[in-house]
Amino acid sequence: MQTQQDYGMLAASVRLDEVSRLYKRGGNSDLLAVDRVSLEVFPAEFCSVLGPSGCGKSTLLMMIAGLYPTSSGRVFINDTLVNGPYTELGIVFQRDVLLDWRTVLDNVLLPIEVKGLSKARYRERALELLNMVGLGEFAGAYPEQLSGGMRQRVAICRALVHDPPLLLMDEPFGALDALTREKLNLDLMRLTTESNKTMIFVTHSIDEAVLMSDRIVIMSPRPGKVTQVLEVDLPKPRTLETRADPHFHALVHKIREAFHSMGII
Amino acid sequence: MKGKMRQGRTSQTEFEQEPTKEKRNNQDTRKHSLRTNALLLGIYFAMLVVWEMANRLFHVPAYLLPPPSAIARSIVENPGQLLGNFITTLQEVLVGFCIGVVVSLALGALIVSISFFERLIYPALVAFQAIPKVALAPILVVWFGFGPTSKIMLGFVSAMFPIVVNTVIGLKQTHPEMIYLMRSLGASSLQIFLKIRLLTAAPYIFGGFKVGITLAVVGAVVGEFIAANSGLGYMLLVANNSFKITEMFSVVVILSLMSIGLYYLIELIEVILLPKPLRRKGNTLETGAKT
Repeated sequence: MQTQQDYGMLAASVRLDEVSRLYKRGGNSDLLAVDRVSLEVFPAEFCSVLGPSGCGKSTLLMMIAGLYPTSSGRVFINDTLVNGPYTELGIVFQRDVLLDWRTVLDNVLLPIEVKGLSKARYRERALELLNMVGLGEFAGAYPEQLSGGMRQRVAICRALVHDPPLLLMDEPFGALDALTREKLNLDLMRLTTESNKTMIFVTHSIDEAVLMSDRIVIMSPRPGKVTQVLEVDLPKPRTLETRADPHFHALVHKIREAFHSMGII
Repeated sequence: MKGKMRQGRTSQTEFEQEPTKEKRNNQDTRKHSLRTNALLLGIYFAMLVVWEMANRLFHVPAYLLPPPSAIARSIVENPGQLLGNFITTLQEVLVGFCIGVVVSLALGALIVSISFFERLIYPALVAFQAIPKVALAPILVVWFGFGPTSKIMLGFVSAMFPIVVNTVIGLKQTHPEMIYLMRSLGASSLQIFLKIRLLTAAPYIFGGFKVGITLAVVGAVVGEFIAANSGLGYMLLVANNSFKITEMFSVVVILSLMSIGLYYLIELIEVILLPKPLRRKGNTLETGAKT
């Protein structure tokens, strides 16, 4: 198990303490999206949150980021209470919100601009990230010239450029076709094994979760509760070959059975 | 020109080929658009010729429909008067439009930031828009006098609605995820507004400007109909009362040219101000009710 001491201050730890989110609609139609989730994410861990649509996993992620307030319970990042947008993280959404009027490079450098850091200093890093995902040549291109998969890769680079200790991703590959998705899984793993960051990855793909994660948090349908936390003890680094590993299939099947017993599959 | 670049194993040479292909396309499209423009001008010119011929052939009386040659002659024969009135109306339109821009942008930004304000102002705006400018003009003359101020005010209120509506729509186009992203980077509301919302809204705002300025021309001219002693609207009225039909047509032509010129001036400003990808987004026009 990786602890804070092993990685120094590089990767963040996240702790959720009985976190709930209630949407008040008056009377009986109050909507409990997330129901008392307690969770610990260790530094430099890749943790997936896996569950069916509407189970509150995206809401959970937003609460971790401090972008949604919790209705009850508390979120801690590096043992600091989160009560507002936490500003030392990278976030990637399902929709790749790139700015159409900026080049790919300028899009990646957006966090640097916002934080008032030196663009010149981070330019190298931005280009390096783009190269790692195979988009080095497109640094001067505009988003409209790129395909969906390419745009999402730019969004991932943007989330990494300011070297945050925590990376949150909300079904980033959900809008992409299956082949692109598999490629981006590998790209993402390559990006993250070469850095010490804590990753919290929301998905509804069992394969994806097992392939990429150290641990998987399985959520029930709404109201979202944590039903199980699964340790993925597949060898690292994970590659295409991992998918052929019989243990991979065993884990996938185990999770599938769990969902089946919840009535999801 | 907009083709998707191929992803995956793009070799260096493949990428080098793309720019030259694009360059050739540019030259082709330029020649093509030159040809199309020439064709369009040719069609307009042909229509003028047909008009001229029809007038002569069927001996259409000048008091019904003067031929283009007579209209052109009327414009050329009395340049001083036309120019003076043109400048008067143009000044009224420009000042009125500029006031309209400032007020409308401020209103639009307020509406988007405070939802209570939106619910308060929008119905009032729509109701106000429903008032025909011809009905509003005499009231404005009573308030602002016989001089150019009342026409400026009319120009301003005519331009207001399309600019406000388009500004509001434009500002609402920003994806919520982008706002969340900015917040998670610690961006201030001002940073979010300037870096993201304003530029996202820009094509829509300029669309509002384009509709607004043409309506401002209408508004100013209507004001001159009601009460004025100068301007193209006044000149039109006088010509009408004196049965100088050809002169009326010449004023209409000059007015149209003014409107066209102002419209393309807005486009020019848009081209200068906005980066290329934003301009290609195209505009959705919200037309205000015309008088």
